[in-house]
Parts: sequence; C-alpha cells; structure tokens
Amino acid sequence: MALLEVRNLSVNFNLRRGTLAAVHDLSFSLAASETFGIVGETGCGKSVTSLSILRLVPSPGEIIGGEIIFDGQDLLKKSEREMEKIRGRQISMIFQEPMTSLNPSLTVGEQIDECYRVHMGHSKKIARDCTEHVLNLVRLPAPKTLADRYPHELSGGMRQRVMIAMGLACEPKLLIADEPTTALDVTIQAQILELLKELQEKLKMALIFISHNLGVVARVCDRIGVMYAGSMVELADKKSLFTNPQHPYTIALLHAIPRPEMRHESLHAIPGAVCNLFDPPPGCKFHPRCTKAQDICRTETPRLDEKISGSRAACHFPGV
Amino acid sequence: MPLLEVKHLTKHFDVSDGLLGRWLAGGKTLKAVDQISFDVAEGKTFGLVGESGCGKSTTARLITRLIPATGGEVYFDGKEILSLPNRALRELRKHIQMIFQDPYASLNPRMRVVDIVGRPLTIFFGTKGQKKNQRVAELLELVGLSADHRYRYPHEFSGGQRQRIGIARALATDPKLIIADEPVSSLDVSVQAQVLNLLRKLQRELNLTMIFISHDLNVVGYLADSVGVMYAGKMVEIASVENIFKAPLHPYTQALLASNPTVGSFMEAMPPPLKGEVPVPVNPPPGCRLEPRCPIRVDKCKSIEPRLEEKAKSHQAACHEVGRVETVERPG
Repeated sequence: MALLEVRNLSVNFNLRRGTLAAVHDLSFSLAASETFGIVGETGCGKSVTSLSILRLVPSPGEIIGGEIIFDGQDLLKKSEREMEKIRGRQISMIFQEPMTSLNPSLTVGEQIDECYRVHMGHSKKIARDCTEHVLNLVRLPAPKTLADRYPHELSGGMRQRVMIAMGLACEPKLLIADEPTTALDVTIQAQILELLKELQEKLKMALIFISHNLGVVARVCDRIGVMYAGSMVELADKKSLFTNPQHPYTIALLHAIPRPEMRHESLHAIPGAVCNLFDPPPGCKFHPRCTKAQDICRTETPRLDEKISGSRAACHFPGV
Repeated sequence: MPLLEVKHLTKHFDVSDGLLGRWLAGGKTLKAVDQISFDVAEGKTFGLVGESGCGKSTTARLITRLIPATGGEVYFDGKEILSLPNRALRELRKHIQMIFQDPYASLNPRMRVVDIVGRPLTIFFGTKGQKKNQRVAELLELVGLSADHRYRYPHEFSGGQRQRIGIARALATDPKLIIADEPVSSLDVSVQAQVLNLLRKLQRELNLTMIFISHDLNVVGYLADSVGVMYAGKMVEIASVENIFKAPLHPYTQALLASNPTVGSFMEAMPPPLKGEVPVPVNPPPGCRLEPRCPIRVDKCKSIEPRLEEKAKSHQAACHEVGRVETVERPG
C-alpha cells in the first residue's frame, strides 16, 4: 500500500487580480521508503504541492479540492490540532534557505531539543542526549559544543545539516526536502546529497525531493514527476525519464541543459514563457510553446496516462 | 597579442577587528584575490569558475576598476590600466562593459528602457533625443526584444527579458570586452538556454571578447573557449575547455567536475565528495589552500605553495602532485 497518495489536488490563490490556479488536479503516490523527485521551473507549483501535504499553504492560498491520503488517513479532513501531531512527527520538511528557516536567537541545540520535547514528551536532559545523537547522525563534528552555538556561527553547509537533523529528529515516515541544496556550492551540495541518500536508506523513510535541477534529482530519486504550470506532465521512473522522455516539455528541458560536448551547436531553448496562471490557455497548458501542438491540444486537456512501460505522460502526441 | 593580460593581480581586504585587533593581533588580511594571472585572446571567451567566495567577482571588479587593486598589472589592448588616473577611466569603460547577475537589482525600476539602455550613450558620446532613440531601438532588436519595448519600465518584463535589457545596455558603447558575472544564474533552464544562445550569437557577430563568470560548470563548458578555475583566491588551473573537462589536472577541478550533477550521471554511483568546506582566505597558511581537503596531498603541500605552471601543452595547474597524476587515482 502506498504511504502517501495525493489525488486530484487543486490549490488556488485568491488575489485581487483574480484567481491563480497554482496546482491543478495533481495526483501521485509514494511507497514507504521510496525517493520521489518533483522537478519544474519557477512557479510550476512544486513548493505549493509540498506545503499542501503539510497543510501549510499560506493565505490567500486555499486547497480547493482533492485528497491527501497519508498512512490510510485523509490529511485534508484532519483538524489543525491533529495536524500538529503529524507535522514534524510523521512528516517533516527541510527548506531551501537554512538561514531563514532556523531561529537566529536560539542555539542549535535548543531548536532541536524542542522537537523531542514537544513530539516525544522527553525531559530536557533526555532531549539533549537525543539532539547530540541526531547531530552525530548528520556527521556534524563535536555535537556537544555545536549544540550550544547559534545558527550565524555556522557555515551554509553546516546549517543545512542542522536542518536535516531537525527534520530527522522524530524519525518521520516521510521527509519532504524543498530545494535543500540550491543555496549551496557544488562540492557542499554533493556532500549533502550523499548524506540525504544514505540517511534515507538507513532510516527507511520515504523522501520527496523537490528541485529545479534535473541533474540533482537524477542523483537522488528513484521516480520523478515533472511539473509545468501547476500540473504533473510526466511521471516516470528515473531511467525511462532520462533515456526515453515522453512529454515534449520534459524533452525540451533535457535539451535546454548546456553541456560542454554540445558547444558547437545552439541550445534548444523553449520559445516564449510560462503561460499566465491567472488565465491559463485551454487544452494542454504547454501547447503555446510546444512544437508538436495540433488542434486537439488547444481544446482538450490531455490526461496523465501510461505511454510506455514505467512512464506516464499528459500529452496527446507523446514520445520523440 | 591577447586583448587582456592579467598579471599577479591581487586584492587584500583588511578585516581586523577594530584598531586594537590591528595592533595586538597584527591584523587580519583577507586575500580575496591572490596573485592571479591569465590572458584572454581577442574574440574568445574566458570562463572563470569557482565556488562562493573564491574571488571570481572580485576579479571582475578589479579589471573594471570598480575597486582598487592591492597589486599586480592588467594590460588591456597593450596598455596598463590599473595605473590609469581616474579621469582616464571614462575612455576605458567605453571598451569594457559588464553584465550583472541579478536582472532585478541591476535595472533602475524608475527608468524606462530607453533611458536605461541609452544612458551609456549619453554619458560616453553625448547622444541624445532622436538619435539615442534610434540607437536604442537597434540595440533592443539586436538582443531579441522589439523597438516597442523602449517606453516600458523594467517591472513589465520577465527575468529573461530583463537580462536581455542588461545585455543591450552593455553593448550600447560598442565595447571590446564584456565581463559577464553570473549572467544566467538567476534564470530557469529554458530561459537560460535562450540567453546563452543570444550571448553566443552576439559574440560571433560582434567579435566580442568575453570573461564569463559562473559557478555552473555546464554553462561555462558550453560557452567558454578556455577556463580558469579559482579556489580561495588562487587560480588553480587554466586550460582549454576540452582539457578542463576531459583531462583536468588539479585535484580541485577534478572534485568540482565529480560533484557537478549532470543528467548523464543519473545511473552512476555518486563519487566520494570532497571533505570539509571552502576556507575563507584570512591570513591563510603558507601551503596550498586545498591541502586540508585534498585527496592526493603530500607533506610539502602544507608548507610550500604550488605555483601555477605549465604541466602539459597550454595547460597550467598549481599542484605539486600534478604530473604524477597518472599514478594517482582520480576522485570519481
């Protein structure tokens, strides 16, 4: 049975300019201890999706439909009280910018202790022991002294390790990492990716890894979903996605990545820009930028169906 | 003769904690750029890569004389420019222009495009009115925007379009050298590809010389002819783009390439990443700056700083162990 099943999720933002459909009719599922990647460009709805799972969509955003079944229960039907017991305990999240998501006026130890005290009801002393253990788990040196330091005393890579430690504190069943390495340098990024993968295998938790970088997702995830303008356009296992992409957007994205061996040809840029989400075009939302668009693409929204084994795509004319 | 020759360029910042720290502790010096040398041939693109704080942006600011250098020489078109008096800078800046990273911060939100792109024309050539208007229209069309965009404000454009405006402004004075500091880092992949294509097209058509600064190896590999790799204020390797990617010599370059997540690497196991973190070069120890993290370090790396020297044909690296690299296992 799937650990998490998102069915037909739709999230709207009601703004003065109108209603923005940030996520539209999105479905995917995740097995226990699976790594699932969500990729897409700015504004495609990947972060809103992850916030929806934790019911943390900021106002004026609103989940207007769908179900999020976690461990057999619909999270959208839970009360705020019940959600508090799930957040951090069963599902936790790591954010992109570790400086803004850590409290600058509390020491690292105080912030991680809190997870153990609130969720597990541990005493101050036991909580601190647990904190030192988890800091050790994310391979931070000298956990005892580190716990007494403030976030600003740490480097970006160390802060992100602290965030991971906090996320893992209560051994959640599901960890959501939203662009966890985007603010980091490549050599530090490589360290953090390796750490996340190793811990995920060791603790047998499921991981949703969100990134705009296909290369990063390729290194961490087993299965990948590609989002465009609020919808999932392709959902495939890693190998199919990179060797035999089905959706024209995925194909175009893969071709747009510069590589030294292609330096004598021009890059396949995707013409135009992402559609206006206040007033998305009818039919397939990618059709104005798609080279294969036909009449049917302008009128009928394609469904996310299996096109080849191991790969589903929302396109009337999939494949190369 | 190369268009730009940088010799032993150095920038030190005094980061002492107040006067007392300077007297008692003997001061703290941040060696942001330390004795770097490289050449850029006319019509070529020189890529400068490295991680945050390695000194690549400081290098750009030194060459454009936006900040004063601590030492070294920079020859542009055969003339030394670091010693030029301030009043000669206006002439120099006609020929050296910059493109900045953040297209939101580098365009004045209160100015119309015609004034943003036309400002260098007014300042350097006194072009005004209809003539300026005409030239701005040409420039916008050159970068793939339309002449109608002249009377709009920056907020009406997307990130990719704004970066095109920044490029048009840099081209306004018909410069010989363009320094582009992370020009595509804030853009999404699909838009990034559009801007990279544009830069390459412009470079060919206008025979521009370019210094292209980026932390992204894929982008540099795509656009540059030769590449310099910087680490903690030092230039550690300079070679043609082919050699940097196919036969990197310096252990840091090798680690950077191994850490670079590419789509092609999806089936491979991850290489062991470089341990530790990038040091901030404040009062750096005498040896090689990579020494604490280096997988192939030997005793003398701690005490003797390796010089950047030619290790293979047109391939410079600053490492004691390079040359014996065949016998050493590469990380990844």
